[in-house]
Amino acid sequence: MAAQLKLVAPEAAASWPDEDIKVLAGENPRLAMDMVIRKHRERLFRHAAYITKDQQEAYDIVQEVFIRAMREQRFWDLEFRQKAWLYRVTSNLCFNLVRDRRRRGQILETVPHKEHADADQLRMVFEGEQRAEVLAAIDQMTPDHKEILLLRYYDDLSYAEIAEVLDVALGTVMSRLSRARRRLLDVMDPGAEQA
Amino acid sequence: MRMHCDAVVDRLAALLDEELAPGEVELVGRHIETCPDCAGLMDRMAAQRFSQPELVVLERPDFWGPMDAALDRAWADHEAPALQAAPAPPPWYRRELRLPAGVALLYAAGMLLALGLAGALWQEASDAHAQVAELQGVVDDQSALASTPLPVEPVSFVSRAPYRGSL
Ligand SMILES: [Zn+2]
Repeated sequence: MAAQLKLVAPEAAASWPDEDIKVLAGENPRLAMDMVIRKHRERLFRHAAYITKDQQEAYDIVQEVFIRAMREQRFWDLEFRQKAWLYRVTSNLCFNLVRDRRRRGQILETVPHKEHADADQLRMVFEGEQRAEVLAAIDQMTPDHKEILLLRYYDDLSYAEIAEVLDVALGTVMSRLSRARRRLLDVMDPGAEQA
Repeated sequence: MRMHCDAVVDRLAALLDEELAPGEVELVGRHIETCPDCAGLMDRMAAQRFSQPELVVLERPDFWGPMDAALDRAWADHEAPALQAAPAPPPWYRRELRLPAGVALLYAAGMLLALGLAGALWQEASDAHAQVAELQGVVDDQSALASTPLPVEPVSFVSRAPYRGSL
């Protein structure tokens, strides 16, 4: 009840604590789900777009993530970590897609050029940005390093939140991020260490 | 106790992101003061900048419209089978009732109490429903506003300067 009184508009969803949205879900689950969607979809879309670099794929993946959220039995449980779950499912769907795409690409290498051109038609989200040095370098890294750099420096998640998304200890978040940033230095400026 | 370089390197990102526990900041700091390798690496990491691309596509009018429609359908699909799946309880006169007299008496007393409470709860529930209906009105207004078409701008992506760094 207290939760509802604070409701102004779904656009204000970002400022709503998860606990209040869960209370609202007891009364009106459809409205509560709408709040969750509005609270997270833009950042999830960015996250998906960074990984897939295809805006249509990213859009479809975010939509699929929310459909799965509707079906997730534990979604309104008090102890259920919605944000971590949303990012985890989004990441998994994105990396599966990228893996499938790469596999398909490898098959295409062996067949004539026309189909190769179809593969190239996957629309890039950041046509200008793709050349942006840092993102391009991150793109070359292993999925583990790429994901943790995106979660921290592009999605603005705290270390504790990242630990929940990846289901690893806080110490692992620290070491993996440090190693990823060190690797990024090597990728972007291979000669610098000797200088 | 002096920290080993590997342990320090693994904590550099957390140090720069201010996510390291104060005690560890102290230990790492003391190591860096005396280890030029780790100090150099930390300086290079501190200079890293992560640019946040601006997704102009997000400002497209009704960008989320198709997703909202799809999620509405998904919600309806998800609710419908759930309603069908729940087996209807048998009518009250078919249900077996085998209670000792004492329990039956307690039950009757409970029913009287419940009837009294029900009146109060009914009032509270209808208040709540009125509130939800009112809020739904606000939501509808906002949605209508949001779906009002704005001038269409070409979709492009721009880089935002200055870069947003980790520090
Ligand atoms: Zn050292």
